[in-house]
Formats: sequence, structure tokens, C-alpha cells
Amino acid sequence: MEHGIAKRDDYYLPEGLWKKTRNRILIVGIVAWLLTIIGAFVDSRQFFFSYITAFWFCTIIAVGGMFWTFVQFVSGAAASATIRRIMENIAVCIPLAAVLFIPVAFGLHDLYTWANNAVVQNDPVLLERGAFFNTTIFTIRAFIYIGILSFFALKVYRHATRIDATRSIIDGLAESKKAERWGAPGLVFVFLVATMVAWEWIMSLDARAFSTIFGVYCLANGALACISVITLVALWLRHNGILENTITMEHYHDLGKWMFTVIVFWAYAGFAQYMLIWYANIPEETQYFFHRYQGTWYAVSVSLIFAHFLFPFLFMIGRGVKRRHATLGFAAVYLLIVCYIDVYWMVLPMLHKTGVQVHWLDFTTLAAVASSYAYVFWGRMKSHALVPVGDIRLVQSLAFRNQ
Amino acid sequence: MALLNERDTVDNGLYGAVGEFEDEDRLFDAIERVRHKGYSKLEAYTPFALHGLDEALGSKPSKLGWFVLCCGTLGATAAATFIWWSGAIDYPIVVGGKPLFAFTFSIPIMFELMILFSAFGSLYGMLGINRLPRFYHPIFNYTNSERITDDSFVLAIESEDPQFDADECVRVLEEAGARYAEVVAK
Repeated sequence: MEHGIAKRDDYYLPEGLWKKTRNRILIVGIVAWLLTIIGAFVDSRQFFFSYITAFWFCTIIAVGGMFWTFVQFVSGAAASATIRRIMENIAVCIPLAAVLFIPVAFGLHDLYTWANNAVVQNDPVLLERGAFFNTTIFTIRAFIYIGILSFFALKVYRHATRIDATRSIIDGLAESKKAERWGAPGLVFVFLVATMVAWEWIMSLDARAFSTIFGVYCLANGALACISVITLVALWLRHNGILENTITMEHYHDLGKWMFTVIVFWAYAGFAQYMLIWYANIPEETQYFFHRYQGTWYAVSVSLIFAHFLFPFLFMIGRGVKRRHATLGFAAVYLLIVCYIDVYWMVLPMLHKTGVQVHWLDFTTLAAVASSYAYVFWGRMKSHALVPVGDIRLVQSLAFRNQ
Repeated sequence: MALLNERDTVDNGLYGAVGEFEDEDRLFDAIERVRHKGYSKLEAYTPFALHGLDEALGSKPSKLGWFVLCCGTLGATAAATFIWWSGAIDYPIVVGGKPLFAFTFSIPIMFELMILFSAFGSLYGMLGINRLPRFYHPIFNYTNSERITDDSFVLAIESEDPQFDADECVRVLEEAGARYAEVVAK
């Protein structure tokens, strides 16, 4: 086959549409950043907490993108080839985390109890942990983690996009094999690093909390939010008449199945964490939930079970829901919102200890960080074709049908 | 019209008319033509699974999912009820300061029984809906039935079809591109 499907104009974003959307991202980004910077001076403590919520939510989506991309290569999946480039483009946004982490590095004393000398001096446990939890080493480690993730994301991305330019099926498969070689250890590091950063950046907001499954829980949340983003991007492209015949109903059905799977996995990890803490009933561990039982936080804790698991589980169990653009789009938007509420619930109880207090900075920081990632993502959407055009798996994927 | 209705009620001892095709493309083409003529009780026999065959034949979606859903719900309910009854009603003992009944410790068992019942439900439900295992099927009466597991693609118009007429169906199948067609007894 002489790449009959390759290099068709349909597989590239029209210049006008690309520019229009980029300008919108830029405007939202600039406005949001300006408001955020003003907010940082008005209420710096609230700013840091809002910011790390937004930063973590968006970064874990990018990490989720790495997870999905690497899994496609390692498993040699052909069915997903038409949506793989969107995943790759999300995954390759991860180096931006190094820049976006900088405001967090300035807020360590506001954010983390272990960085508060007054607290640490009176707490023998935190004094012992000082070797691990101190501001210099913490910041250095954060950049090392982002470095490791970026290394694997860029390696896989390079080989994945090189497939486009290959002259033969054999060359294409060889590049895809190289992406697989980097993806396999990459997958190990995604889990290791995600676990470490979840502990350090989020769980250590309460310096004495510990839970080993916390990282898996966060990654499940990120993978779910990421697959929702992928679905929304695909639906948006479809709405604009792009890839209409490439991303077929079969692929949307698959996206829906993935969403459903991760909803269950999120519940599994969340329940495993809760049940063990509930059973052991050790004060050090239970305080994580104790903070989240105060005031209106209790309502959030309980409603997460219904909003993040039971409702989407029952909603998405049927085949018809996954095979309709409208219902799938609704599910994606809905899941994205509950995933954010989940992250919000992980972070904000450490600031507003008595109950939920929504602040305008929560929205501006989210818009600022999300638009920064979106800007990088959008640049990538133009630099290569929207699908891996040189990949033989694309041909298989186009013919794919769910049975 | 009177004759047609009579034929409906009379068991004519026939399974149906069966036609043999060389490949799946011809089979799909024939299915479309035969359905276009208004036949609805169709069945296809192929050497390997063909994507889209169910839709082409106009089969309704399987009801197995609903059956499995009921089994799963039953399993989860059974587990919760039993844990509640045995722990809180029949023999209440406080262990480790925990409540006599709580969903927190029941959920793993509920989950397990849900999976177990669903697995049994899907296996036995599938066997039941397909009426398996069975040792006889009328398609075995077809002259070339061995080739169905080798290289031939077979389409049957079953005798339950309201429009069924043995000779007419054989002709329809031949017109639709069958390399060979015959009437098969039950």
C-alpha cells in the first residue's frame, strides 16, 4: 500500500480555525493570569491553595495523557490509532509543568505545614521528617520528577510523530516499535513519579497524613479527566467538520468504555484507601478524613461517592449512551467537573478548615493554568497531522468495529 | 392469501432453504438482497466470526446484558443482606469496636458476590439463550454442512419466515448469487 490514506488535507487543522482558537485561548489566558496576579497580592494564602489545585488538576491530566499514550504503544493497540495523536499532544504538554511549578515553589511556607518552622519545632515527627521535607530538597525533587516525566513524554512523542514521515510500512512500524520501547519503562515511571508527586505536592499539605494508594487514586482521577478531555477535543473537531469520517462512532464507543473503566477504577482506589483507614482507625491516618468531615466538607465527601461513582457508573453502563455524541459529550463535561471537585476536595480543606468557601481565585487560577496547557497543546495540534498518517494501524483503526 | 396463512400454521417438516456462497462479500451482498425481498427469519453460518453480520441479518441486540445486570444486583443484595442478618440480627457481637453492620466492611464481599453472580449469569445465560449444549441442529442435514467449518459461507431462510415457500426461496438464493442452494429438512 502506497500510503493511500496519508497526506490528505483533511488531516490538518485549517489555518483560520487554528488561529481563531489560539487567539481565544490567548485572550482567556492573559485575562485569567492578570486577575490571578492581582489576587496573589490581595490574598496570597488563598492564591497559593487555589493555584496548586488548578496546577495539580491540569498537570495530572497531562500525566494521564502520558499513561494513555504509553498504554496504546505498549499494547500495540490498533483500534485507537485515530485518537492517539490527541493523547500524544496532551502527554507532550508535561514539560510546561516545570514553569507552572514556580509559583508553588514560592508558596511552600503558606501551603505546607512541614515548611512552617513554628509548627515543626513543636512536633518531633516532623523534625525527624525534616531531612525529606525541607524546602530546598523538595523544590529540587519536584524539578527532577518533572524532568523524568518530560524525558519519557518527549522520547515517545518524537518517535510517534516520526511515523508520519516514514516512506514504508516497515519503517513506520520500526518507529512505532521505538515508541513502544520508551513507552514501557515510561509507564513504570509514570506510576512511580505520579505516586511520589501526589504524596509530596498534595498529601503533604497535611504533613502527617499518609496513605500509600493516594498516588494511584490521583492518577485514576487524572486518567479519567484526561479521557474526558480527549473525548471533548474529538467532539469539538467533529463539530467543526474535522475528522468526521476518521473518528467514527466505534472510536467514541471505545472512549466511553474507557471512561466507564476508569470510573470504576477510581472508585476502587478511593474505596481501598477509605476502607483501610476506617478499619485500622489509627489517629494519624484518620485525620485525613477527619479534616474532610468538618462542616460542609462532609457533604462534599459523601456526595463524591454518588457524583463521582454511582451516577456516572449507572449512566454509562448501557451501550446506547456511549454510542451517542450528545450523551457522551455530556458525560465528558460532567466527569471533568467532578474530577476537579475531587482535586478541590483534596486540597482546600487544609485552608478552609470549617467548610467549603468558594473563592473567585479558584476560577481564575484554573482558567490561567488550563489555558497555559491548552496553548502548548494547541501548538502541537498544528505541528503535526491530527492522526498518525504513516501508521499502518491507522488503516486498521479506520476499519475497526465494536462487536 | 388463504393458502399463505395455512402454510404458516402447518409444520412442513422443513428447516428452510439454504444457499452457499464463496466468500463473505457475496454473503453480505446476498443478505441485503434477500432482506430486500422481505424475508426476515435469516440465519448465517460461517467458518469464522464476521464483523457486522448481526446487524446485516437484522438481529436484535442480545438481552444477556439485562440478565447479567439482574444477577449482579442480586449478588450484591444477597451479600449485604446476609452480612447484615448474620452480624447484626442473628449473632450480634462487637468486634474491634466496629458497628454491627456497615457498608464499609460489606462492600468487598458485595463486590465479590456481584462479580461471581454476574459471571455465572453471563455464562449460563449465554448457554441458555443459545440453547447450548445441543447435539443436533437441522443445518447438519445440509449436504455440504462440513464445508461451513472450512471455506463456505451459508445463508438460510428459515421455514418460520411468513413469506416462506421452499422452491421460491431456493430460487431467491440462487438469484442472490449462491453457487448452490437446496431445501433442508428439520
